Amino acid sequence: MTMTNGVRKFALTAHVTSSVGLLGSIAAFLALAVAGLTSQDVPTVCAAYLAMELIARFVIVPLAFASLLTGLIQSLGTPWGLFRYYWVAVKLVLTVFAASVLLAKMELIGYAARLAAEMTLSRSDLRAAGIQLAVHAAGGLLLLLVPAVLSVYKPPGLTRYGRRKLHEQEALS
Amino acid sequence: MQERGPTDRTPRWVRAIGIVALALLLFVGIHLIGRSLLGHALGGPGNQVPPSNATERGMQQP
Repeated sequence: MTMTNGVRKFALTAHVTSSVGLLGSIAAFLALAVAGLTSQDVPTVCAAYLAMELIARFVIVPLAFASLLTGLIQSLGTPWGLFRYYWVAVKLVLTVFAASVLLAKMELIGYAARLAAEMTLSRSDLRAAGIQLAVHAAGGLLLLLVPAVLSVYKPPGLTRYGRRKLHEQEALS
Repeated sequence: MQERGPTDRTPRWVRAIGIVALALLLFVGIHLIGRSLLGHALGGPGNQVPPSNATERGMQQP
């Protein structure tokens, strides 16, 4: 299944914008997490945690799934395939892992936002949640830089499946 | 025996990423097991998200 040139470029544009947008939104989330941790101003801390939940729910999660979906379409609709090249497979594994961790941490993000919304500020609870969120945001940002680098450099290396497919194609032609 | 060419080997960068991923998984696993054991030792569920209860928590903001 190979896409036409127009569809391929549209899918590529959607994939690049969603992936880069995801990196940017996680960077914004990290900035808010650091502000929530370091600020001494109560309204700033409350606003930071409320904004973090909104960003996570309405920007980061949709962009993570958009990036995953458009990446799947992009790889399955082009000769790159999904498991033929190591760099494509590694990108898939990292993105799925990051999306899973994000979904697992949504409860914690919601908890921190609830504390802020109720204006119930236990510094130790919020601090513990804030440290976890900042660490995960920083880790997620670093993790998602790897697929970005792989997409640009496309390091060589066929998987066993890719080599078998290549031999099959050579035998046919 | 068929000789393995350079393209048949797993690339070095894949092995490097694999080793880093394994080390991270090991670290996270040890961290989670440690938290779980600590939670049991303290008699609590070891849950990182305690129930939200305004009366049990610190100060109410005016």
